[in-house]
Amino acid sequence: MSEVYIAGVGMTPFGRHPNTTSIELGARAVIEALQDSGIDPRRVEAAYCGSVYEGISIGQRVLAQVGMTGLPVTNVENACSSGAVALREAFLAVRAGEHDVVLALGVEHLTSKFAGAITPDETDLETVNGLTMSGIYAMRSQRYMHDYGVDHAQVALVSVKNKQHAANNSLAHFRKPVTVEQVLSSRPIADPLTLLECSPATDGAAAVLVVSARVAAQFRDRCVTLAASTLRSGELETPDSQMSFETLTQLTAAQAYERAGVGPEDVSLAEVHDCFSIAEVLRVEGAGLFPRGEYLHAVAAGEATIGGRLPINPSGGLLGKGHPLGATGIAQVVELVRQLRGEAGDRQVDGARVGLAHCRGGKTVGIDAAACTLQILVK
Amino acid sequence: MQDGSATLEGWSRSPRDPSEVFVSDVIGVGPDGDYCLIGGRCRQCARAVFPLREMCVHCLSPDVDPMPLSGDGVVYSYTVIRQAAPGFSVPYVLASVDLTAGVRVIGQVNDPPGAVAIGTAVRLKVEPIGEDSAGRRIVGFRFHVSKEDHA
Repeated sequence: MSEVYIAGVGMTPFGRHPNTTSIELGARAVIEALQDSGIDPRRVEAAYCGSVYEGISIGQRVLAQVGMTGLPVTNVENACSSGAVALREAFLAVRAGEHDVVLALGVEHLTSKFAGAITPDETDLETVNGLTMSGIYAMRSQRYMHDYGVDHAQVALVSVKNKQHAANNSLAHFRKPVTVEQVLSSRPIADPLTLLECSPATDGAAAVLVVSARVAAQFRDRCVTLAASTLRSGELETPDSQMSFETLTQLTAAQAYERAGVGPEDVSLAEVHDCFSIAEVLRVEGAGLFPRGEYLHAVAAGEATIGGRLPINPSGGLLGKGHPLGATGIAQVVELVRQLRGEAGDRQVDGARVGLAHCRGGKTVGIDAAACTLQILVK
Repeated sequence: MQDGSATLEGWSRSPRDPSEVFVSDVIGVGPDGDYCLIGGRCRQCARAVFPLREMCVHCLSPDVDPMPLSGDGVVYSYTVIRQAAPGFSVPYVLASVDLTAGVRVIGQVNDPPGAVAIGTAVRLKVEPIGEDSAGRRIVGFRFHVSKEDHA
């Protein structure tokens, strides 16, 4: 098995794009990733495209827009991990020696698809009974507060931190810092979650170019190593299951650490799937980046802020940067590559050497999630 | 399970009354003629499952008997939904409930916000929960806070 590298990254501004189609957004991200790498577009051998609500063959429709036809294109849907799984497929294709240059992209024009709460599959029993994605995380937040004796204001600090990070990211959907009082008094969505604890409906696209060692040798100064990319599906929910700790994230991370030859203590920064405030807590504790039950104390102490011991979501995360479902997993890796190259400008994390990206999404009756992915990047 | 094969012998997926419709295929008519939530119990490992699937989700045995799920449980966690998908009127209470049968089930609670907390005893009831566009009663399930807990 050979080493895998990321040679180029691109993403559109995240936000509302009423006058731009998902195809145009996707094409812009692809062009930027290609230009960023310096690799000739004709050298791209295959592409994987993640999306959730973009319909049939979105990848081919985006790539035709940039004149890329004929090459094998695979479309990937895996709930909120769709983009991350598209990247994993590109990683596997290069690692197996099948291809030298592969494009992974993600795209979603969510504001034109949804009003109101996003749900799991609409035919799923739990959706029929009124379950929403915010409802799932509200129950997890309620249980976490109960199990670890923390209050809502402590959880709300995650939103404050991520929106503060997003203020320094020109590509973020929301660039206005908020106070904990504003988070707590914003519109209630699913108790205890309020509006400012929920990631928004966002439009956007992101793309990365994944290359083999042979190609990376020609573009070495642009390349970051993609050391591991792991995927697991959701766990059975039984009366023994805990909502306040994510075994699924723990198992997916353990595989990634083993394959990358690093441990959680080596991680310099992480982009984790903060679809809701409480979600970030569950991710970082599940991945072993902070001890169980202690993350919110670390957030209050500034440890997870840029400049702190282990910055979490320096891009602003889903809460600040926005959450165009299929693009999210790729955009996390775009941020990590820029951080590891030292190109993150006002939000640069000093000494960034090992970056971790985590996505987790979906839910179906009796199973706690659809998919969970972990990527580890090394400078 | 979809073909009404031997595993559901003695059960029915059709409401007794043509003016009623089941909210989903997890509601059925049990061997005793009562409407119930269809769970299962594995013949090999004896563990309970919900929903009933083709194989036991614990030990992968294909020998799972359908079992009516009803009765008592305890709230593991809950929320009050204030922004819902189209078609739902808010607010409503949603809970994740551990039934004494040994399964965790997510569903709505019939009682108002404030009546439910982690650890509250509830009872699952299969009952009418609304009406469809053709005017038929939709039969689903709801949790009800157990009477002694109201005190």
